[in-house]
Amino acid sequence: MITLNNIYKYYDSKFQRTFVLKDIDLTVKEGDFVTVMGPSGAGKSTLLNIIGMLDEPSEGEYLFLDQPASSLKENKKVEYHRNYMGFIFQAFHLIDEMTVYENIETALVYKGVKSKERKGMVADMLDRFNMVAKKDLFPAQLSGGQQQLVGIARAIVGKPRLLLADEPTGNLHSDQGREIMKILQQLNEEGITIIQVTHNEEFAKAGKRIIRLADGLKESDDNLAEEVESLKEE
Amino acid sequence: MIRKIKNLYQLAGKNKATLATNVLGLSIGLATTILLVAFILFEWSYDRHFSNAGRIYRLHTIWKDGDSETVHPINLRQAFTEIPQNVPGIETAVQIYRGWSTEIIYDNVRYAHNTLLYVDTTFFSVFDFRMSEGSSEYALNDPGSVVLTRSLANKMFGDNPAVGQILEIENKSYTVSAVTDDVPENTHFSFDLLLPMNALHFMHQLGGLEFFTYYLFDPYADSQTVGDAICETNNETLTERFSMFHGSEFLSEIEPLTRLHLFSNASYDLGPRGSIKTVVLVGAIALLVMFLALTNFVNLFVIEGEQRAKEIGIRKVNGAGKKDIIIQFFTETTFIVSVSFAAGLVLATLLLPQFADLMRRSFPEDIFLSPALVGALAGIFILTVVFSGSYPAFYLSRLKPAAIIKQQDAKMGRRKVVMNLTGGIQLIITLVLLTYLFGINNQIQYMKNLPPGFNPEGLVNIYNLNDNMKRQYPEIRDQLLNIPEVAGVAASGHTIGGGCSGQGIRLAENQADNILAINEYRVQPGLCRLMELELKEGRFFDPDLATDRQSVILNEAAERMLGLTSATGRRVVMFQDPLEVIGVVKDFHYSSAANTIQPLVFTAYSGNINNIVVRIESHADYATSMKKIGETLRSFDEGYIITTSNTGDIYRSFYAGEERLGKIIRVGAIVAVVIVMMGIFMLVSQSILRRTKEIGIRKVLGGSTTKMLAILYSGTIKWIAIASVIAIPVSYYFLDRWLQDYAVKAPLNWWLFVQGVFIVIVLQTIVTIWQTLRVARRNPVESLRYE
Repeated sequence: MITLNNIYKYYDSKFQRTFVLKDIDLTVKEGDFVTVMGPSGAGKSTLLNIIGMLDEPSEGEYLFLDQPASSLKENKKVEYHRNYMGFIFQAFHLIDEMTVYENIETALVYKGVKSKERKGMVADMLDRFNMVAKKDLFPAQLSGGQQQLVGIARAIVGKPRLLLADEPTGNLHSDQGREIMKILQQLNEEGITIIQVTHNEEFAKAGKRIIRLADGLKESDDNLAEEVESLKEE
Repeated sequence: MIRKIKNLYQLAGKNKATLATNVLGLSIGLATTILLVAFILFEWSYDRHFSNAGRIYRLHTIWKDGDSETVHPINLRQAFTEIPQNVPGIETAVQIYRGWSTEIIYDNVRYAHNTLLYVDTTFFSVFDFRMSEGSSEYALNDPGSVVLTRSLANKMFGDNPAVGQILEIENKSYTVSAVTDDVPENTHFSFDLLLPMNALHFMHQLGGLEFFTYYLFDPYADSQTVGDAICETNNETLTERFSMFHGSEFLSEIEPLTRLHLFSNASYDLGPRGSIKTVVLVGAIALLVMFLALTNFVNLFVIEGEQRAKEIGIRKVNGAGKKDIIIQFFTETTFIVSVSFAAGLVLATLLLPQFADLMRRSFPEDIFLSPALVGALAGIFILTVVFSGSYPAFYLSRLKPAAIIKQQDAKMGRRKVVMNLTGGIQLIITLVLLTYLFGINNQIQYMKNLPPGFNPEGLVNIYNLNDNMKRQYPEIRDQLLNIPEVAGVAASGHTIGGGCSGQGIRLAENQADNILAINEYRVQPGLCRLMELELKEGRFFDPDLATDRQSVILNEAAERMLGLTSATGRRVVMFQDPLEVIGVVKDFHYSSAANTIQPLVFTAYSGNINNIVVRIESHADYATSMKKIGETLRSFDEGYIITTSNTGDIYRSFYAGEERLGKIIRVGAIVAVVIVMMGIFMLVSQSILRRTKEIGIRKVLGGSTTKMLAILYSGTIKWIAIASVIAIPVSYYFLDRWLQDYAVKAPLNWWLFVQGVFIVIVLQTIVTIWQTLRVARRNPVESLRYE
């Protein structure tokens, strides 16, 4: 699904070039659940942003669904965002002036889904996350965990094939975090490919694969498939 | 739909104070602009309602006398009786003779103060009026016919038909032949009734410049050729008629009807005239106010937009394309601008009566519906939406969502410069308007405070006297003098401070062809003394000396013009008659102090009395005095309706034009100040908002509130200083140019230029301190907790 070949990301200042990512090679198959780990400033978020087409690599080749995607036209990117990708953020990034319902609906509006269908799809999401009663509340009226549920609902309501999560549990306490991770695992089982960034070793193990970055370089790439199995049994 | 509007409101109004300021500022600016534009369009519409407007031209006579040149809008009778026959390309012509204010008697009831015009039978062929009763075709053919306006007819006859009724006007009977609709306000003349020119037998014998002359050109005639031919013929007639004025030259000019109101350089006219200068100034103020309101609106909208960068980022990540974001911003902008426009229109409608009063115009009720105004408004609407929507829409929609979500103030630097720049320009405009306003008021006060050279206060002119009263003047005078409140009585043919006659004068010993132009006031002996004019030498007219009827009194300017140092005892010639100069009065103002004092002669040869002049005792109650005077006059004419004017008022009215100008600028200046202060208020609060964290940290580190204030304040003061440096020379330039038209100039003191700056600094200080204290007083923890 995703192939990165020799990806570099750097910023040029007057006298020197600051590297954020150096020579990253990565292949993610459909149905994978990848966790990206590493210390602050290692380039995790940048990598995620490049994969999510929110940022562009300085050098290297990026294939998304076997199509070159390193320098796409704006319209094409919007196309991918609408139909293939969902995003979850550490700070939730809900629109404060909109209700839970409206926040979830936003993605569908831009996707061009008809009003009637939207209603059904949003209702399904609310149902799934047990938030029917909260649909008319504003984000500020919800707890952090609930806000992140709305964030996930919004990200997946459009049935994306790839879910990108940038520290989805960073602003939550551990119980809420675990719940979010369970949901991500469920989604993964349903077939959505997930790439998440996290600091938390425990939550990292929720994925099938851990990639460790340090100073922009890929340090390791471990397959955890067996461990995931064991975690589920608990 | 309702949910959509609610949503728009929630999103656009993230910051309620900003939204309110936005809408309020824009609607105030709009209301002002709408009114000013309405005024401009109204001035522009003058006389264009006549269906032949484009083909009607007026003939002017230019009297050149040495360096001075007077453009008279009036001509000889020949301009009507001869020119149309001799010049090809003229369809028809009409002359108007001004009948002034007249009294009508119907059914033994008197109706005073009606504006009367004597016109030729062709009047309605040139100026098409809708007839309310009767037909315009033969309405003026019978010398005994009269045409009334609808309002006058209603006043006299109520709902009964007017045609066929018989009226008495100046001792003659006239039959109403037709009733026209009222003269539209935007016409350069007005009347309540029309009489045919041949109603008065002497009209055709008037041999001087008396008649306003209009030509209707053939549709296919070349106006340039016809105009030139008319002027040429008229020049010949004039030169022949006024051959005795050897020092003078006579020329003609033809002016299109549609230019009369704003562009005419005639020295007087049939009605109050507009001026293109005022229109340009009003236009400039409208533009400036709109600029201020627009820049404010756009600036605030941009700041708002910037604060919403995060929201835009989220939307983009959720699949919003550039187009979606652009549409979103433009929808929101259109919504807010529409609300502001609605508010502006309501405000303009509410203020229309006051504004009409200020501009001395009565606007038609449907003025806001005029296509030009609607067009202008649509233009402003689109401009506002485009400008205020473009930045957020195009700039923010292009930002990379990752960048927006991560770092909020990506490109503050460049935009801050633009905003400071527009803020600076706003300040400059405000300062220039304020300074200009102070300069004009200064000049008006200066001219008003100039001693006029006599005592105008307490002088009352009494008009509307019938022939019988005029004959009985000596008895009336004696009766009036019996009233304790009356200090003195005199009579005159002219009103002091009103118009004069233009005459020719020469020293008796000079050649007959060396005639100089001079203004003449025809008075009765006793008036100069009553006025309390100051004598330079000689004496006033003596009512008891019959020979004084053959004497004149000059002013100093006339004495200088004749090349004399002492004129008393010298003989001058006017109207071919030798007259003796018995005195010279010191120069006094008999028109606006804006003009230099022109040579003037008082004559007493004519027995004609137009008005009786009464001086009221300074301590007397005005109303009581007038009541007693009215009673005395009614003992000479039972139905007399007292009509007066106060010389003091006449002198004050000289500056009405300047005062109106001052008022217009004041409106502009106040609106500018309000809008700019609103803008500053929002800018300060936004910059405080952005620096809340900084303020919190500084306070935690021990910074005092005063220091916070100093930091925020010094930024704004710097801009006032820069704006002042530019605004003061600019306003000096404009004021200096404006003062060029004035014979006396008030000195442009330095404090005139400091006042405006001072006002702006004070207001800005209040705004800044108020806003800063609100934040700085807060507990530092509160502002830090945001993060």
